[in-house]
Amino acid sequence: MTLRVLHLEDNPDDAFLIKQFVAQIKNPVIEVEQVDHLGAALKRLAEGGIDLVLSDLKLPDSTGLDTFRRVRAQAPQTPIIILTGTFEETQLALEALQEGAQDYLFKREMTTALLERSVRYAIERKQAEETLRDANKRLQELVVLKDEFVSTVSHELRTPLSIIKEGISLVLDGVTGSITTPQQKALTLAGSNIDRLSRLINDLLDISKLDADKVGLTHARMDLREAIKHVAATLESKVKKEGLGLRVNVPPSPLEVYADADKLTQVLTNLVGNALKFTEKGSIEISAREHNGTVECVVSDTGIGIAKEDVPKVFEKFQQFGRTAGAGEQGTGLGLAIAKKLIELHGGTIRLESELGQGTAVTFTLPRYTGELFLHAQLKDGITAAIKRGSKLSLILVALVDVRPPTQGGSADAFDATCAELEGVVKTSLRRAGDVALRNAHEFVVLLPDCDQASSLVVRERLEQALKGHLVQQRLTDQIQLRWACGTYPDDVPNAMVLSQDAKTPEGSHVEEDSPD
Amino acid sequence: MSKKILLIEDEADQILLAQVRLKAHGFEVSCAVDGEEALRKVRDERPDLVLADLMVPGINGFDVCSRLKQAPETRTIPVVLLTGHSFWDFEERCKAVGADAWFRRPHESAQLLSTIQTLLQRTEQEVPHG
Repeated sequence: MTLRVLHLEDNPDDAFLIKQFVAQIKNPVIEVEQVDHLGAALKRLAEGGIDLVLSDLKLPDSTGLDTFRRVRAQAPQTPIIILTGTFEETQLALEALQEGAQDYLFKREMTTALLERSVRYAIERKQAEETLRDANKRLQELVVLKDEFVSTVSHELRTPLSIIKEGISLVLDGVTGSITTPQQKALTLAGSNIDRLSRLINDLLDISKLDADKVGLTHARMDLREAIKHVAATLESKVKKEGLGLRVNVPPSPLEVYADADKLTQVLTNLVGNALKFTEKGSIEISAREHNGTVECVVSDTGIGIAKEDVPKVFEKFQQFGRTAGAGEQGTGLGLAIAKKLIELHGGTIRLESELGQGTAVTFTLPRYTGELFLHAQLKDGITAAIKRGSKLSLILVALVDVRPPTQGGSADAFDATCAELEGVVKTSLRRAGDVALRNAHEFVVLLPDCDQASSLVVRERLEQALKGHLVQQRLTDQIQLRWACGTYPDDVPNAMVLSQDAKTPEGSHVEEDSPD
Repeated sequence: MSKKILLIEDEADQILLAQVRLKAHGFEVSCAVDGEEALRKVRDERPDLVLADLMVPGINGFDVCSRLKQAPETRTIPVVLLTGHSFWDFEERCKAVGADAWFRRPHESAQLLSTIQTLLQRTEQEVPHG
């Protein structure tokens, strides 16, 4: 094999020297073409057929990293070795390595062996890189193809499935004439397995969407107790039919989470369904409580349990451990994998504990609803929307500061009450549907989607007038001060992190303080 | 007098089974295999209810429903939509075009029939006023 090397060098002595070295390399045989300025090199590269470039950085028409960058831009798939003559150039060559040069050689230390090895490695490495790049690209295409495939197949499967189901059910319902008991039994069996196939298709579609990060949550502030009660009410008759008990154990006060109610219902239904399947006698319990700043929910049963060695695998796809299912619907082996994905999508965790013959408990946690969590989610959504629409997102923070001297004996309760009153004032000052105002103790956060800096200042002005008006009316101007901070994405704050950090520290950098007039 | 249902469906097997089922429940069944035919038959035959698959050639089920619900003379005809497709937003889109009910296939025939009965009773009660 002959390698065609383009050598870029303006110094005739150096060019001659390199040619001598190259001539001694026997494997691979190298044919070298020499050019003395960048323009000629770019022209030659455009013609194609060059396997490797040896390049000096300092040329009549280009110097430094610029030389490397332009060669690379012209022939991105050709390996480049930088030849350096000075220490300074060596520094530049190191940078070129970062940007994709394969190697560099110091001209004064050049030997045939060194050059040969460098050339060989450069070509091999470049080939490996290209292979990897191609494989990666192909992999990405395959992922897209797989998603489309699953979605299409699930549709294609559903149509014949629904025809089979209806055909069987017509016979079973006696529409086509009376049937015998054995016939009825056989068809009922067929029917329930069609339903199982249909659940499998739905679960497959769910997991494939979850794997592809295509599931969006419709977040709302909700009470987890409501979802639990709803699921318990739906499944109660099924559980009772199997002679099992169903207990719900929740605290008297709300368990607020910021979640997608439908998805949580899906998870709970799934977990209770599993419990029902593998419990012959005893009971199923759903309990929930607040624990370490999270809301924790446990679905436990007194069923057959899972062997210790199988526990770590329960959240993987299609793991059914050959357990003989009892009552309830036959599983798809995807339920827990889906539950795990959905809980993690909510920023929660899920785990399973089990004792063979004693029962199983699945515990999931969700972040407790807090103003901060809500704000973060709103900010994230707001910024995502801003990026998508190419619009701006503004944020206004107002901190209320109690400036009464302690001796004056004003109560903290009165201050809290005023803050609560002012929340109403803030909310009525906002005029658009997408605007969000949130109170966190003595701070207000106002989020203004599709609002640039100038417009946000108008809103700030309006807010200030409204708030001050209220304070004047209540004769509180010498007791409560307002501190303001404003920011607009992407003008002031390049990323969401900074903006949300600001949200937590209103005394941050953009703060101005009102004089207590 | 038996109630007339217009079935919009292009899959022959589905048509056959649906006809058997609906006729067994005493309905008169008429059939359209695409959106244009469906709109024509609604106009000519005045069905009491429309049962439509979403994916039919030409004007699809959503559009048929939306047109029926926009025209004053067909607005009161209940429309039930069926799909075997996994639309993300199937429910929202059904609501948006004003469908009265919707089912994802495969569905329970018993549920579909009881929904049809309920919708027909509802229009019966409304008709004297309209």
